[in-house]
Amino acid sequence: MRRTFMKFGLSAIALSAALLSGAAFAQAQQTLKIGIIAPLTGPAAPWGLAMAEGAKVLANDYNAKGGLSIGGKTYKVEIVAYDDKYKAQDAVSAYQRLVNRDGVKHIAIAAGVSTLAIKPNIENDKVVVMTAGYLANLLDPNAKYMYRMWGIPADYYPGIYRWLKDNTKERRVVILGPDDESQREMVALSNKLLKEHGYNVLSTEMYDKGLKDFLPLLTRVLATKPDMIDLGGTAPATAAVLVRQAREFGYKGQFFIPGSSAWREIMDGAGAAASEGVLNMVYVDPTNDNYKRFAAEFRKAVGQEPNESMAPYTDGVNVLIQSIVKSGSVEDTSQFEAGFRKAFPMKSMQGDNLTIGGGMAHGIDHQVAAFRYIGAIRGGQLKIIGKIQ
Amino acid sequence: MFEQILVNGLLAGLIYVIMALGFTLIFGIMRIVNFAHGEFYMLGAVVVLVLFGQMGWPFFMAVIAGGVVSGLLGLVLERLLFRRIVGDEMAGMIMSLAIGIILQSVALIVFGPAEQTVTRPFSGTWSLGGAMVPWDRTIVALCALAIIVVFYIFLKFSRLGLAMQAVAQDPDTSSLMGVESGSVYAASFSIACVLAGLGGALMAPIYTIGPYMGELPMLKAFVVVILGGLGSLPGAVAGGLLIGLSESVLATHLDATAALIASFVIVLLVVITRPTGLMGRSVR
Repeated sequence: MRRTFMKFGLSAIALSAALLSGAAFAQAQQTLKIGIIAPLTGPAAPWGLAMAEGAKVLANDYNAKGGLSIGGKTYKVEIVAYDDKYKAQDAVSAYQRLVNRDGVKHIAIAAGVSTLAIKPNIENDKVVVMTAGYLANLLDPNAKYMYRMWGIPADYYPGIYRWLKDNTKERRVVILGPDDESQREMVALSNKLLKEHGYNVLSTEMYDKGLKDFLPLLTRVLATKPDMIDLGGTAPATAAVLVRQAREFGYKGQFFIPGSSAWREIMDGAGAAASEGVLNMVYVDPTNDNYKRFAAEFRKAVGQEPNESMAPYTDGVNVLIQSIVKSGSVEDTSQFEAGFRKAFPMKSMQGDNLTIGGGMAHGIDHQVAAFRYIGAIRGGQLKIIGKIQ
Repeated sequence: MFEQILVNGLLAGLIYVIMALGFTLIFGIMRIVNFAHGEFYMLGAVVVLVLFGQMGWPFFMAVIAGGVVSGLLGLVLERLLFRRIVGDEMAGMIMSLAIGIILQSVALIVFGPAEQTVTRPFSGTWSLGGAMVPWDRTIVALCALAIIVVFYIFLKFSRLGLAMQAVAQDPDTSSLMGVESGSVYAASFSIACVLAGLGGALMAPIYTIGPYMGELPMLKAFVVVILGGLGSLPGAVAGGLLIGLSESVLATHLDATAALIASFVIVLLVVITRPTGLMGRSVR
C-alpha cells in the first residue's frame, strides 16, 4: 500500500511538473495570427492558394527558428486563412470572422473586389490590411491602415512597355482582355501607353471571362493583320486556349502578356511549337533556389504546381510580419506604419531589394515596390530576358 | 470571312445540338428540366482527362468511357432520385440543381480548382474555301453528326426508341398498351447523360477542363431547347444550328457578349410569341 501511495504521489508530482512547464512555455511563446482572405476555391483559386500556402511555409520557417521576438515577447506565427470565393460578400464574412472571432489584427487579401468590400471597416477597427488588389482606388491618403504588396499596372506598366518598345520590333497590336473592372483599367492603360510609344493599336477587345470559344473573336481580330497580340491580364488557362487557337488560325506574330504569369499553362495547353516566343511578365525566376523550395512545399500541401504569384504574395506577407516586428507591438496597430518604414529595405524571396513606393501615384506611400521579370518561352523553357521595378 | 463565320457557327452548333438532345429528351419523357446536365458534360471531360490525359488510353476509347460513365451515373440517379418526381417540374428543377452543385463540388475536391488541359489528339488545320478549319473541331463535328444519326435511327427504328416516343406523347395510354414506363424513364435519363458525357469528352482537348466547365454548355443547351421547343428533338437540332450560326455572326461582327445577349433576347421573344418553341408540342 505504501509503495502504491508513493507511485501515485510521484506520478502526481511528475504530471504537475509537466503541466506547469507547458503553461510556462505557453506563456513565454504567444501567437501572432496573420489572417488571409483569398479565393481558395473556384477559378481564381490558383492565386488564393498561392497566397495562403506561401504564407504557411513562411510561418513554418519563422517557427522553426524559434518564432519572432516582438516587444520583448516571443511569438509563434499562425496563418488563419478563409475562402472568399473571389466575391465581395464572402470577403466581408471572412473579415468579420477573422476580426471578431479570431482576434486577428493583420490581414493579407488577394482580390481587389474583396479589399474594396472590407475597406470601409478597417479604419474603425484599426485592422492593418496588406492587399494584392489591383484597383487603383484601394490606396488613398485617408486609408491609414491599407497597404499594398506590389505595384499595380499603373505603376509597372510604363516600365514594361518601355522595355517592350526597346527590345521588340512588332508595332501593329491588338489588345485582348477579360471583361471586369480591373481588367478594363489595365486594357485602357495598355492602349494609352502603346500609343504613346508609337504603336498602331488596331483594336481593343474585352471578352466574357467564361468564354472558351475564341474562333469568332479571332476571326475578327486576325483580319486586321496584327503582328502582336497583347493579352493583358488574361487568366493562364484561357491564355493557353487563345494562343493555341490563334496559331491554328495561322497567326505567326508575337504574344505579349503583361498582366498575369501564364507561361507554364501556355506551354502545357498550347504546346511547345505554338508557345515559342511568347513574352510574359512573370513574378519569379523559376531557377531561383528559394522559390524552388517554396514550390516544393506547396506541391506537398496542395498536390499541384503553385501559381507564381506565390512569390510576391509571400513577400507581401513577410513585409506585414517584419513591419509588426519593427513596430514592437502586435496589439497596437497604430504603430504599424512606423514599423513599415523601418522594415525596408528588405530582401524578397528571390533576393531582390524591396523598397517602399506608391507615394506619387496614390498620394500615400503604403506600397511595396516589387520586381517583375520578363520571360520568353524558348525551346519549351522560360528564359528570363528582362527585369523591371 | 463569310465562309469562316459559317464554319465556326456550324462547328459550335453541332456541339450545342448534342447537349440539347439529351436535355430535351429528359424533359420530353420525364418532364424534368435537368439543371445538372452541364455536370454530366463535365464528367465526360474529366473521364478523358484521367483515362486519355493521365493513363494513356486511346482517345476514342476514353471518349466512349466518358459517355458510359456519365450514362451509368445518370441511371443510378434516375432510379434513386428522379423516378420519384417524374412529372413534377418544380421538384425536378430543384433536385437537378442540387445534384449539379454536388457534382461540381466533388469535382472541385477531387481534382482541385485549377483548370487543366489535355494534349490534343489532333492538331493542324485544313482549308474549306476561304475558311481555316481546325482538325480537332472537324473530328468533333464528324463525331457529333454520327451521334445525331445513330440517335435518330435508334428513336425511329428501335423498340425502345418507339417506346420512348410513345411515353413522351401519352404515358397513360402507352402504359395501357404495355409499355413499362420505369424502363423508359431509366433508359431516357441514361441516354441523355451519355449524350452530355460524350459532348464533354469530345470537347475536353479543345477547351480547358475544370469543375465549372459545364455551366456555359448547360446554359446554351437551355437556350437551344427553348428555341427549338422543349421535348422536340428536331427542334433541338434546328435550334442548335441556328444558335451556333447566329452567335458566330454576332460574335464575329460585334462581340461574344452581344451574341449572348442576342441568344437570350431570342429566348424572350420565343417565350412571348411562340411558347412551345419553333417545333415544340403544346403542354399536355
